[in-house]
This record gives sequence, C-alpha cells and structure tokens, in this order.
Amino acid sequence: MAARSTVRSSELPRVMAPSRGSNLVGLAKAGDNTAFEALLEPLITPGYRLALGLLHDHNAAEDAVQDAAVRAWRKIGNLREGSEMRPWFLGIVARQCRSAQRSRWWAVVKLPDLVSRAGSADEEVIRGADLRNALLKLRHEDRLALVLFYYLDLPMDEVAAACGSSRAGAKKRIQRSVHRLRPNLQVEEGTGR
Amino acid sequence: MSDFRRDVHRALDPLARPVLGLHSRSMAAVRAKSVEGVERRSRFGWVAGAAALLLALAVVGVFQLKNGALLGHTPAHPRVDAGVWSEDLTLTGDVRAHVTSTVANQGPVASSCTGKTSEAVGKYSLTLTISTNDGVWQFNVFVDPYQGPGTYTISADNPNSPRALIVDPARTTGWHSGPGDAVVFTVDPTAEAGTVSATMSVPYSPVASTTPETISGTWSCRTSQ
Repeated sequence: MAARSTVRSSELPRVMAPSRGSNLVGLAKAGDNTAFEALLEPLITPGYRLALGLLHDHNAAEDAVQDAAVRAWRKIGNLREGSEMRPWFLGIVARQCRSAQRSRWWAVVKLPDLVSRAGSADEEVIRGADLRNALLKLRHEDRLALVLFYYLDLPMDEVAAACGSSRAGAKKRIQRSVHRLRPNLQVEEGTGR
Repeated sequence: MSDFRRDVHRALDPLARPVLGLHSRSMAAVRAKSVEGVERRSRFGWVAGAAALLLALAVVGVFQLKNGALLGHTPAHPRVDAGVWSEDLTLTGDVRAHVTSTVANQGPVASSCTGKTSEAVGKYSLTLTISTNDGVWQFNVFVDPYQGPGTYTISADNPNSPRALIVDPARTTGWHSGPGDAVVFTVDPTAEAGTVSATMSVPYSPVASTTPETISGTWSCRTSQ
C-alpha cells in the first residue's frame, strides 16, 4: 500500500515540463494519446511563438506547429531517454518552418506589407518592422538561435539542443547573428527559465 | 529584460494572434494520422499479417520451450475495453452529473486504463469517457510513480501526482488539478477499480470558466463489477 500525504504546492504545467514530462514519454512511446497530449500541450504556445518568429506569418506558423505535432507523434520513439521534450519538439517545429519557407518564396515579396499592416508611422512600429525585416534576412539557423534565445527566452542549453549544436556553438551563433543586427550588442549569458 | 530582447518581443508580438484550439487541432491531426497509420497497416494485407503471426508464434513457442513456462502478459499499451464500464461518479461545477457508466468507444474517443499492467510500468493512467447533460467529457487520472494498489494523494515529494483532468473530446474546454487542489485516487487489489475524489480548479483553456470542477465516487475499468 503506497500512501501519500496531501500537500498542494505545485502547478500542473510542471507535470508536462521537460523534467517531469520525461515520465510521460514512456507512455507516449507506448501509444498513449493522453500522455502524448499532456506532453504536447505546454509546447504548443512556445512552438507557435518559434514558428511565428521564423515565418512571421500566423497561419503558416499554426500549420507548422500542427505538422510538427504529427511528426512528433510519429517520431516520439526517437526521443532518447533523459532527453528533454521541449528542445526536441522545438527542433521539429524549426525543421517544419524551414520546409515551409522553402516553399514560400513569396514571403520575401510580402515583407513590405508588414509596415503597412501596422498602419502607423509610429517610430516603434517602424523599428519593429525594421527588425523583422532584418531577422528575415538572416539565415534560417541564425534566426532560429536568435528567436529561441531572445523571443522564447530559452536558456542557452535548450537553445543548443533545439539547434542541434553545442552550447558554445549556439552562443557563438547568437553572438554572430546579433552583431549583424546590432554591432555593439553583447549577448547576455544568464537568461531563460 | 535587455533592450534587444524587448525590441525582439516588440517586433514579433504584433504578428501573433490567439492560438485557441491549436492544441486540439494538432491532437486531432495526430489522432487522424494514428488511425490512418492503422488503416494503412491493415491494407498491408492479411498474407503479411499471417506470416508475421506465424513467425511470432514460432518465436514465442521456442521461448516458452526454453523457459518451460508461460510468461506473464505485460502489454505496453493501455487496455481499451470495447464495452462500457460501470461507474458511480458525481460531478459538480459547471458540469453537473451523476455518472453510472462510460459511453461506448467511438474511434479515438475511448475509455482506457493501464489496469494490472500499471505496476510493472510504474504508472497508472485511467481515462473515462462519460456522457452528461452537458455533453461528452473525458476524465483522466494519471499516477506516476505507481507502486501498486493503494491510496495516492498529492505529496511534497511528488506534487504532480495524481493529476486529474476533465476535458471535452475536442479539447476546447475543461479543467485540471492545480495548486491547492486535493486529489485522492485509490486503486483496489484488482487494479481495475477504486475511488476518486478530485478538485480541478485550473481552467484547461481560456474558454473554460473559473468555477472548479469536482468529481468523486467509485470508478472501474471493467465491464461488470
């Protein structure tokens, strides 16, 4: 008989957070939809934000996340024991975005729309549009690292895992990419949750 | 937040729209692909299936001969019963009902439980699909670690287990247990029945109300008590 005392000191999302989520991975690998769903749920919003940061298009971002979810379900068996779900899934989202981008040559054509879509001459809006344009001109890998680090606020270790590189490699990539956008900016070290 | 980080957020946030339902759509796509995969496998042909079955039987036969005894059956998949299960559960909150059975499985909307295999796996997962005046709902309890029949409540060591969740099949609304909620889940010696008392105060999605949902009573994952 396994008895547990009642304490309430947690929030459910941690159930699905990477460390705890690894306990669900076994069930998901065994075909348990509920377990997979529980693993996936907290990753939908970060996945969408990543896709948005890479594609700059709401509909395309949603499509990429949906496709990534299906791919994750098919590939869940490849998730290694002890690996974290979040960077693994974000890596899949990133690859979906890359595929989507390859077939979206028109994205470049649509860029000027971003300014007009904002519909304002406000300096901040213009600056935002400029930064979006600059981000879109970066290579996919560089933009991926920047979005993960500066938009999703992921720690460097997870950025590295999602990019499939070492921690040092990820940091160097971010440093290089940031310098293209803001030459005098130093990459912060401590960030993320 | 650094200036650059803030600038990135300000640049990208305006592109974002609400993503309500994206999770349920993604899961629907997953389920559709799962079914598609099963159908594709079934179209592979009965000849290949029969050959695989014969091979499997031969391997099992050799294995049993070597060990001299039958091995315990420990399937990795949760058990899904084709019939309905007897329940005695009372729900309060936005969804109010007294439930006496699960509903018949309809494709991916199915009741399932890991039952007797749970102890070997170290996890217990129970999903009951129930019908109320407010529609069909899926109630799920997940226990991890699971050490066999007994009583499980949230503890300081493992504050996330048991986890209780109730959602509609489309996953658009529902509630789950969270900070401050009491969840008590008992499993009787058969590993296929027990009691549950759970408060689920956290809205599953923005469209769910903030009224906590509670469920209590006896559950089972077998066709007859």
